[in-house]
Amino acid sequence: MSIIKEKKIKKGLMNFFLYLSFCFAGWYSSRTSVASVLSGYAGYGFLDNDIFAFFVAGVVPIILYLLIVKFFAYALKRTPNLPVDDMVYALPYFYIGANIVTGLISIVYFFVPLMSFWGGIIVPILATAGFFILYLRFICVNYVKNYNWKAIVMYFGRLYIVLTLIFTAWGLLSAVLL
Amino acid sequence: MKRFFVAILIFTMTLLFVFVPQVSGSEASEAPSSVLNIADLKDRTEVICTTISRRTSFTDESESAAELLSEMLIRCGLTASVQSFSVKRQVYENFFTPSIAEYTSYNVVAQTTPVDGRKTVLITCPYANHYSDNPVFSGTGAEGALGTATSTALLIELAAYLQNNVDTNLYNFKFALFSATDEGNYGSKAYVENQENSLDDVIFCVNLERLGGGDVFYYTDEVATPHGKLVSEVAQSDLKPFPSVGRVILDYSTVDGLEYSHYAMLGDNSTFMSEGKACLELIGGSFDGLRSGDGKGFATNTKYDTFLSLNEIYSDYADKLAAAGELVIELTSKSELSDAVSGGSAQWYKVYTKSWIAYAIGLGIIVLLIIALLWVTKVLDKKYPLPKQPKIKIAVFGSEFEDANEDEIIVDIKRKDDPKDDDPFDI
Repeated sequence: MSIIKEKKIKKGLMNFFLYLSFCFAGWYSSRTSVASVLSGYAGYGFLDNDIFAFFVAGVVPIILYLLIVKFFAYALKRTPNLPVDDMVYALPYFYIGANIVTGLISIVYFFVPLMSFWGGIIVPILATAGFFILYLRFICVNYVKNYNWKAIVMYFGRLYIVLTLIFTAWGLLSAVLL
Repeated sequence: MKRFFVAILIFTMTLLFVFVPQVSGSEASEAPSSVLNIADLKDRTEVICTTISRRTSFTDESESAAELLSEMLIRCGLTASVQSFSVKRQVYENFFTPSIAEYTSYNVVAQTTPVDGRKTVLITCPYANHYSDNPVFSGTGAEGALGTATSTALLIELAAYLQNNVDTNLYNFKFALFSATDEGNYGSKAYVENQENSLDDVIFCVNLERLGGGDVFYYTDEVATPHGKLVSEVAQSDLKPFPSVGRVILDYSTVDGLEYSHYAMLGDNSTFMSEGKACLELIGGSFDGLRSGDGKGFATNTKYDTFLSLNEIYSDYADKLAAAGELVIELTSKSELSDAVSGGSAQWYKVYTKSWIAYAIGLGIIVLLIIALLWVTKVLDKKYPLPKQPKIKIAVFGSEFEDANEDEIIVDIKRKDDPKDDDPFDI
């Protein structure tokens, strides 16, 4: 973990790795989206491939991630005893872990497409939750005095749950309504 | 750690190139010896491309095309007729004034001489092309050689063969040539809704689609079924199962109860799968892209889909038609087919494709996370309580100083004009 504490990799490079991990995690579902869009249009053969689907998979997630993180980092900047910069720096490492797990499991979907419907929804929730717990533990142990752990866990745990709840509820509404 | 991330990058890129499914190939296969005549298949395809090149759905030309196809089937000894159907669509004269427009198109239905006591097999294919403009697509001016002409030719040759062998056939055969397939399988839906076409006696449906280009794939259902097993046993080695590995899923539904599609589900077979019928889809192509993957730049339903291109690019198309036809003939010559299709299309797995159930499970996981969060914070609160904060006390009299204990901070307030004190708020 010294690589995180000593900030050995530049923030921009970490964000690029994060983007690649989002591409990997979302590759399978991106193929669906790209194919569904392209099936209505002739003449877009140059986009008709897995490589395009791979790289397009990470675009929306990385933008959303950066916007949300920037927003909360700015909002919490002046909070006393909160190592905001360290927290922002460390987050991609754990998110990349979650994305790799999600991506590795999604390889199974290539062989058993039926698994993709439940797996594509449930696995990212479980993977990100698992790595977020590790992230909070890392932050607490390394940057926060132990009597503040409760406050940190409660605040950021609640934040994570609310964001996940919003995205899941949106997915549920889309699945039911659309 | 840097190495770790470089390894991740390399691993990811490797996966890109290793796991991109290469499910089809252009390996040459020996021409199958078929009961269907290759020359007849070629002639039939050419006739359809030249004399019935204008077969666009929802246009006046589709009626004359349907009549010509009906005549072809009658000449083969079958009873055949043309059925019209209408589709209503909302159209906008301008942005604010929608109106309902009604469009008419035509199916062709036929059957071999029925024999009492036999169950029925339905063989279908789309016949319409995109030669002219219609309310949904712009015209391409191409005959739709690979798009529909080859499959139509095969269906007619199969009909002729099965009618010639009506005495020895195990099943009765019905045939249906649909228009408006690309527009939304309207032809087959109209066929199912038309009470003249009872599906009660139909035990098995075979749909022929875009045959002649790439490979011939067979597809029966999303999960293993008895009829799927029978098809794979009967199919020759030059026919391939529709690839399940790396299959491209499309996020719209064509089969009722199934929240996705793929390229073997876009045809009229989906209408009969929705009716619970056991189906066999025979589809040509090369499914190595994210789209339908006709391959070699020969996209069906484009201006390139001509008889000339078909002969240039897929000169062995008639062999592939013959191989597909042979599968149908051999399959329907088996008495086991009747038992194999008795379960119809599989239904049980459709619960696993309902995304709302997965989202509901996801919400359940979030509820568990909330409970876990409350529990963890309670544990942390007990284990690492906040240190006691000293109380602030204002000292007015000397006794406060004297009685002060360790938990108290004594603030000594002095008079502002005390000449001995430079800073009156220095505490």
